Formats: sequence, structure tokens, C-alpha cells
Amino acid sequence: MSTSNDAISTLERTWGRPRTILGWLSAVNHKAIGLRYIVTGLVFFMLAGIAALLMRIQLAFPENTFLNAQAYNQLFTMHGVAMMFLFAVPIMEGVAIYLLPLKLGTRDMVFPRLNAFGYWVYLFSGITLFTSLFFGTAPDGGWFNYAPLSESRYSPGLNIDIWATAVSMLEVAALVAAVEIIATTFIARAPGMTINRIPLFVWAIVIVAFMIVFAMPPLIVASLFLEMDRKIATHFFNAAQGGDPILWQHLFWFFGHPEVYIMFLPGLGIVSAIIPTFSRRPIIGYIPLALSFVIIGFLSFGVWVHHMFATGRAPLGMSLFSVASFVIAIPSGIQIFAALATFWYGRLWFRVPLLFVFGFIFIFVMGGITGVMIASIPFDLQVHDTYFIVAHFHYVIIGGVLFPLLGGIYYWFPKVTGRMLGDVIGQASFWLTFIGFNLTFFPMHILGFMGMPRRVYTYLPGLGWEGLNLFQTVAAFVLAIGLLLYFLNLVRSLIGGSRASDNPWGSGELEWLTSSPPANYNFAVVPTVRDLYPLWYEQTVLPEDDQAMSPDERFGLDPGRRETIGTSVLDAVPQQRMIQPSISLIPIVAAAVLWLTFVGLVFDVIITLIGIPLLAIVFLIWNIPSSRGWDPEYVSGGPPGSLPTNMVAGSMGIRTPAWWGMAFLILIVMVVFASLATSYFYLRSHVIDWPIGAIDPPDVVIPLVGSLVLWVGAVPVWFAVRSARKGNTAGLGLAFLAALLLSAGHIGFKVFELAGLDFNWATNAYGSIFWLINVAHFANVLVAIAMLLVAAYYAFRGYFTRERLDGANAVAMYAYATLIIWIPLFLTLYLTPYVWGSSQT
Amino acid sequence: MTEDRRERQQPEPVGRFALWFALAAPVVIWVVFLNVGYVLIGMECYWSIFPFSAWGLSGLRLVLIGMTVLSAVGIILASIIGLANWRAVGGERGPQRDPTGRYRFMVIAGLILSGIFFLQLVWSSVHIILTDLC
Repeated sequence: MSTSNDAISTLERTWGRPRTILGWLSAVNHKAIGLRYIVTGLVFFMLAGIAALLMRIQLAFPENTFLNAQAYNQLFTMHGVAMMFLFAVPIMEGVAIYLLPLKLGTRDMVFPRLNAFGYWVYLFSGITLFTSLFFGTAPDGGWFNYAPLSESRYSPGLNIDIWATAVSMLEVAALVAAVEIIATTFIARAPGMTINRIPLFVWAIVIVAFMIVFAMPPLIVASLFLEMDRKIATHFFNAAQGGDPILWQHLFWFFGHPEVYIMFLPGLGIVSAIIPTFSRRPIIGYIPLALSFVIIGFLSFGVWVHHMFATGRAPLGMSLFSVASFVIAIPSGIQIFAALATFWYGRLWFRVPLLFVFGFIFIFVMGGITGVMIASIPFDLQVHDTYFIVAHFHYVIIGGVLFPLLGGIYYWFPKVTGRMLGDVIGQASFWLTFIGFNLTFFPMHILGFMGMPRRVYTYLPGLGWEGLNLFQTVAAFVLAIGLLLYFLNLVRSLIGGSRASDNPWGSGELEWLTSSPPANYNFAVVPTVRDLYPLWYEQTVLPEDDQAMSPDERFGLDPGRRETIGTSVLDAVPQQRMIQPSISLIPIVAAAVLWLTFVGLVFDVIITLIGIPLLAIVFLIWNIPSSRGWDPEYVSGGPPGSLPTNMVAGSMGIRTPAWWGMAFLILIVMVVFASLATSYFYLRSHVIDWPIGAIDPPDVVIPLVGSLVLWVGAVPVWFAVRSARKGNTAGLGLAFLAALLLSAGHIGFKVFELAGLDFNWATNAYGSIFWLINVAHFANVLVAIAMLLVAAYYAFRGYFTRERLDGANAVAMYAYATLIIWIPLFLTLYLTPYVWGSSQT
Repeated sequence: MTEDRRERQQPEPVGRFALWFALAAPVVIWVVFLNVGYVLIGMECYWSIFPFSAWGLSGLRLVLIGMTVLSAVGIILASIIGLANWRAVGGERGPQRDPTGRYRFMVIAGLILSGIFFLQLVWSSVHIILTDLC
């Protein structure tokens, strides 16, 4: 069992990239992308931190004139937006993208180009947000951007538009990363890594990825409502026309509270990786810990109303959410007690990463306790919108995100760079950060009790707030110095730090099996896993094997191609060889065009109208099969006994990356439409007459006929899949064309129906939601039509064969989804007004 | 790999439906309970959709109590199935390389989920009886 030098140099060539600017721009390797996320996130963190310092200077003295109200509003909004959307979530995704393949024992994420695309989208939207500061158009409505303050009547500038478009782009980037993380964890684990051997960090990240899939689309929908209200006079949040500003809060906080857990669950995952290493024993309570991530993930979607206790909801309704807010302390507590038990039974090794873990425990518990306090409705009403809340969430987020992250960077820095971080300067930075943080934020609890409201740019003298505010400002600079020392340590060690061995901390998890820094291909031989801490409890992570063959050799991995092993979801049994795409400029081009499309919404819709077809063209180019992809030998070949490639595995009933990618795209689309339908019922439940005003309930006959035309499309799609399985590619192409024509017929009916309506999106809230759901579905059908057209083209060109069905199956999945999604939407729009219309009230 | 092959050759110690029901039912039940309950409360306060009462309890409270009881029955059922599953795999002992460790993991997961969501339900029921409606 050895890997020859030839094989290693071939792997290096295969997985490497040219050391040029174009090579840099076209990189898709998970380590390159992950590192870029981390560095970019740290830059945004520093910018947001500077914004915080400027605010602290302003608040140091009463009636200070260092900043005016407008500048302060922009700074506190940018601080929140940057910390939430540009730092906390993306940097944790970056850590995950860097570490996941290393921890799972694979060579890359399953969608490397998508991974790169997500990063560029994130970067462009972050630059857009911060650039707007220099033009005085930075968002200024708070990171939560409440309607109706954010409506054009009260915020007429571009500030809110920039918030809505940039945040929507960031959501796209987060969703891309989430799909990437889930698919990689599901099907790219090393052989033997059953679900009960998955590292806790990975558990945390996967739960976060699922949360992103369910939490982010509602915010995209809310942002769409807001932009439509601002740009084309819809009435989603206009109470005078049947809208409801509280709808914004529901949609925002359905995203916003899970967002808090999305930020700190990865922190808990990092802590779960550090603690065993520095306690010199396996973590205590692996199963409860993994489960606590799952439970937190579910419960986080049942607590959003606790942000709305002051909005006049029914007390009993609020109390159900109050209960969930209390109960979530249990799985959070499990994390802390498991950590303490592991310390108790372990042999502690006091190094800087462990200090940050101790800092995390102290601060996070403090934040958790105040969290339980504000889960109580009467208490929450007392401290609502005061500095007590500011203190609470900084204790939770800095405790749950920043301290684990700083500890994690310290822990993995040797792996990433091959150099150790300085210990003395590391300890100094920890203590300054820890002390500075507590001195800055603890007094805010007291200020809150003293009645100081948050988001005020100044205050009058004589209220008793002066001393504490000045103290906090000084302490904030202590915190800043601590963080500055940390960054200086990073730079200094990167240049001249002592060399690190492959496993300098003696850790037990797989990433430490690689060289420091890891090679482009991560593992010369894909490992086999038989334990939670394979480096501690296995003589070797290579297979017990009579024939002395590595998994690479046994399953036919060719070092000359970007291939890695795909395994089953629960038991990690090897099933396929996944061929990974190589470097490409397409991701950055696609991200740039997406940016153009979104930014057009702010400045001129013509730009967006140009951007949409451009985007379609770019995605078309993205999906053109490579010349090698046409070669049957390339997609089906391999040594005897080798696993099938992912391109043909689909025909054997194995779920391929394409299957998973399409499944999650469909899931995201479904969540978007579910958010739209829920908004429809929410708006309906708040008015007596529905449809509002003089609008009659919609005609059912034409929409029903149009819908039947769409649904009949299921028949040719079914026939297409069947033809493909039989190797009848002409039948496949014809069936896809038939489905396309039926979908186009549906579009025709839809245009006819909408053109004949005597109301539009600007008539009232009913018109707004009715038109939006119809147009959104219209767009969804257009996407399906485009996919069917491309698939039919490739079917006629002979690309799809009996074995190579992957793309055709994925298109069929989307076509089916389009039909299925329309069923509840049709019932919602066309039948419920008769069942629950104005006559019922 | 030999170990993976062994895993695949083992007969499944727990039925697939029983395994997934015990795992997923508590969560699904709680999600439905919370969201339907919240919507019904909001609609009652806006529209008075339950214009009846019995035993001194308003219509909405009766409906919510009924929902709580049904949800509790569902979670208890999931727990019973989970316990049966646990007995089926309970003879297993660590370490991690246990051939059916994955089942054991999923069974324990189901039991913990049942426990936490049952607790949630009990706590909610106290509010349903005692807290003001609107």
C-alpha cells in the first residue's frame, strides 16, 4: 500500500492550477475558495469593527457632534449588516468550505465551480454595500430594515434599495454554499464514515446548511416585496391598501432568528473540535451533542415571534413561542455541560485555542442566561429596544461566533499555512479581547435597565448614562487593541512563524492526516474510517486489506483525472467515482452578470432586463458538456472492478451530485413559493373582504384549462425518462419538446388570463400578491422551458445514452417540480377566495 | 471496505418505517402543533372562529387542548416505537466501530427528540390553560 512519486506528481498536476492572475481568478479548489471567504470575512469584520468604534466615540459624551444622525444611522446599519451578512455567516461558511473535505476524507466539494460562484457573489455584494458608504447611500434602516420605515414614503433614497439587492445576493451566495455543504457531506464522505462517525463540526455545519435552505428564501421574498413596494407601487406593507407591515417582521424574523443559530452553531462545532484535542480525550456525549445541533436547528424555526413580543400579537400565541425560546436553552446547555465534563475527565493542555474556548463558555453562558430572561414576555417588554438587548446579543454572538472563530483560526492556522502562531502574543491578544469585550458590553445591561434606548445617535446630559458610556468607549478600544494584536500575530506568523508539523496538536480527526499545508488533492490516498477519532484509535486509516490496495486503486480512481469517491448517505459505502470539474472563469463571469442584474434593480431596470438573458447565456455555457464528456470511454471506462462514474451512476439507481444539486434547488424554489403562499394567507386573514375592494373572485375556467395543459406535461416528462432508460434518445428529445410545448401553452393561457384582468399589482394588496405569485410561477415555468430546450437539444445530438442519463433526469425532476408546485398555488389563488371569501365574513 | 461490506450484509435490526417514524414524528408533530396553534389563535382573536364554549373553557382553548392531547399521543407513540427499537439494538455496546452503531445512533436520536418535544408540549399546555387568549 504505497503511493508512488509518479502518482503523487500526477495528482499534483491534476488538482493544481496555473500560478497566474487568470489561474487565481479561475480557481475552484475548496481550500482556495474557503481561504478567500475567511480573509474577505475578516476584512469586512475589521470594517464593521471600525464602524462600531466610530459609534462608540459618538456615544462617549452626551450631545456629541462627532457624527450626525444620518451618518450614525448608516454606520449602525452597516455595522449590523456587515457583521451578520458579510462576516459571521460567510466566514463560518468559509471555514466549513476549507475544512469539510479535509474532515470528510475527500478531495474537494462536490460542486467546485458553484463553490467559486458563491464566493464571487458574496464578494461583489459586500463591495457594493461598503462602496455605498462613500456615496452617502449606505443602508440606514437598521440591519432588520423594518417596514413601513423602509418604504419609499419614509426612505426615498437608494439606501434601502441597496440593502435589499445586496442582501438578496448574499442570500444567493449563502444558499449556494449550503447546497454545496449538504451534498458534500451526504455523498463525499470517506468510506466507513457512517453517520455516527461524522465529526461534530460537520454535524454543526450540515445543520446550519439545512437552516440556510429554509431560512434564507423567506428573506429573499420579503426583500422582493419591499423592492416591489418601492419601485412599482405594490402594497404588501401598505395597511391603507390591505397590506400589513407586520408581514415584514414575520418574514424577516422567520429568517432572522434562525440566522442567530446559523451564526453560532458552527462556533459550537469549532469548539467541539478543539476541546477533545486539548483535553486529550474524546468528547463526552457525542450523540447528545450531535442531537443538540439537530434540536437547536428545529427549535430555531419556532422562536421567531419572540422578536415581535412588542407588536401586539395575541398573548397565548406569543406564549407558545416563549416556551420554545425557553426550551432551546436545553440543547444549548448540553453543549456547555458536555464541554465541562470533557474538561473534568480530560488532561487539559492550556494553549491559546483552549483559552478562547474558555472565553466562549463564559461569555456564551452569560448571553444564554440573558436570553432565557428575555424569553419571558413581561421581562422582554420592559427591556425591549434598550441597551440590555444590545448587551444580550453581543454576548451571544461574540461569545458564540467570535471567540470560537478566533480559537479555531489559532487551532487550524498550522494546518492551513504550515506555520505556528506566536504563543505569547496569542495569549496577550486573548486576554485583551476577553477583558475588553466584557468591559464594553457588560455595562450595557445596566444602561438598558437605566432606560437607554438602542439606535440613538446621542443623548441628553443628566440622565445618568454619561459615565458608563464613556467607560464603554474606552473599553471598546481595549477590545480593538486585543483584536489588532491577534491580526498582527497572524501576519507575523505567516511571514516568520516556526514551521508546523502535520499534526502539531496531536489531534484525532482526519484533516490532521494531510500535510501542512494540505496538498491540492488533500489525500494522496482516500482514507477509510472506522472511528470517530481515526488518528487516535486506528493504527492506520488505510484499509485492512488482503490485497494491499488503496481505495483509490480498488475503486479505479485515476490520478490523472479530478476524481474522488462518492459514498452512500447513511453508511458511507463507496458507490461512484465523482468526476470533478476543473478550473474555470465561468463562476466569476456568472457572478458578475448576476451582480449586474441585481444592481440594475437599484439604478435602472433596463440593466436588469439586459442582465437576465445574459445570465441565461452564461449558465448555458456553464452547462455545456466538456469535449471529454462526450467520450463514452471517459464516462464509463476504468479498470476492472472500478466504481461507475457519477455520469453513469444515475442509471444504476445511485444518487449522483446532479441529483442532489437539483433536489436542493427544487427544495429552495419550494420554500420560496411556500413563503409566497403563506404571505397570501396572512394578508387574506387581516381584511374582511377578499379579494379586496371591488375586485371579483378570479375566474376559474381559463386558469384551470391552462393549468391542465401544464399538468398534462407530466406525461411526456414521464415518457422522456422512460425513453432515456431504454436508450431511445430521439424519443427522449421529442418527449422533452412535447413537455416544453405544453409548458409554453400554459404560459400562453397565463398571458391571456393576466391581460384580461381588470386589476393589477398596484391596485391593492390582493392585486400585489395575486400578480406576484402568478408572475413568479410564470418565471419558474420559463426556467423549466429553457432546461427542457437545452436537454432536448443534447438528446438529439446523442449526448444522453442509456447509461448517461444524469442531466436528463435532473431536468425531468425540475419539470415535475414545476407542475407539482403549481397545484397548491392554483388552489390558493383560484379556489380559496370562493371557500374563504368575503361572504364567509 | 471489508467492514462496509459486513455492514451491508447485516440484516436490518430495526424496520425502516419504525426507525424513521420514531425519529421524525416528534419534530413534525411539534412543527404542526406550533404553527397551526399560532394561526388559530391569531384568527380567533381577529375573527372569532370558534364561537362555542364548554366546561367554562372557550372554543379555542378546547380546540388547542384537543390538539395538545393528539400531539402528545403522537409523540408518546413515537417514544414507544423508539423504545422498541432501542430494545432491538440495545444489546450493542460501543466502541464506534460497532457494526450496527448507525442504527443505535438513530434510535437514541429519536428518543431524545421525543423527550424534548414532549417537554415542549407539556409546557405549552400550561400556557394553553392559564394564559390570556387575545
